[in-house]
Amino acid sequence: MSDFLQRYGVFLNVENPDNNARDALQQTVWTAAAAERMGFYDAWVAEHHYSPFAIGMKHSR
Amino acid sequence: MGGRASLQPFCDRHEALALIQRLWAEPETHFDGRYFQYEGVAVYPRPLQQPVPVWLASLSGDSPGLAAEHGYGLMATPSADLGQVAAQVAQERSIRGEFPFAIARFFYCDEDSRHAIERGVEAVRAYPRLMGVQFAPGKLPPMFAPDAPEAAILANAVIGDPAQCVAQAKALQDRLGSHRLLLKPATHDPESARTALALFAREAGLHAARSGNGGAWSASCNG
Repeated sequence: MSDFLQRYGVFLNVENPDNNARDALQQTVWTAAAAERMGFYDAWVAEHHYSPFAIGMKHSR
Repeated sequence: MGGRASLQPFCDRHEALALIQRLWAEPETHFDGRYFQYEGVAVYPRPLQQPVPVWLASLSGDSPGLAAEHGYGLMATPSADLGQVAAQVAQERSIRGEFPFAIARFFYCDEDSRHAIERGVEAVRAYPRLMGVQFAPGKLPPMFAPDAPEAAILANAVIGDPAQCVAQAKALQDRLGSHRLLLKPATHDPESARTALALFAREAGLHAARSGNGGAWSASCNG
């Protein structure tokens, strides 16, 4: 049996609307750190392959 | 070091996961599998978290069985239809009992409920096009349908003013039982995302607290 009923976390894409990968990555880290300070239990970061919009691995455009 | 990976497109996920978990845990890995063979391979940077938890972002096919066999968690993605998810979780619990489960939901919170709904729904509608997501025939989530009504999106998201968002989270708890709720900000603006998360955290009574071991942060929820 789990020791909790519901825990809150954040789920983050590294979305890159301004085509600025450095800033997109930095903002994602800042949001995760801010969420931790707010009391969220964990931060999940998505990696999307072949996405035209979110930074993932090398196959991202 | 040296190694070889089969290029077969449907190589066994059991073997791939076993290799990945050993790479995360061992300073140097020797692996002689059917599809993967490696001699003295290592990955860097090393993961700080040990063991690294494994979650499968799928509730269909062989994922539930694979998760049960190896103690992995199961995760529902932001667009997964809640009705289907609830049925699958209930079925899995009837077989396996309690298991690690997480569900991600599109999320937007604003003091103004109507503004939150307009912004959140607009972002969800734009998401499939921006991300270039593709689904197999017949597998398109209802919230991503081109003509998806606002109600279909809101029923599968956490969007509204702070009280509405917390009420929606509690409704998920009632429906799904023990789980991790992962809020995926439905905005590309990081400042708006952080503001929305802060509003939710305040309404939910979240507070950060130092744990007694190593200064790691833990979180708890009031009420």
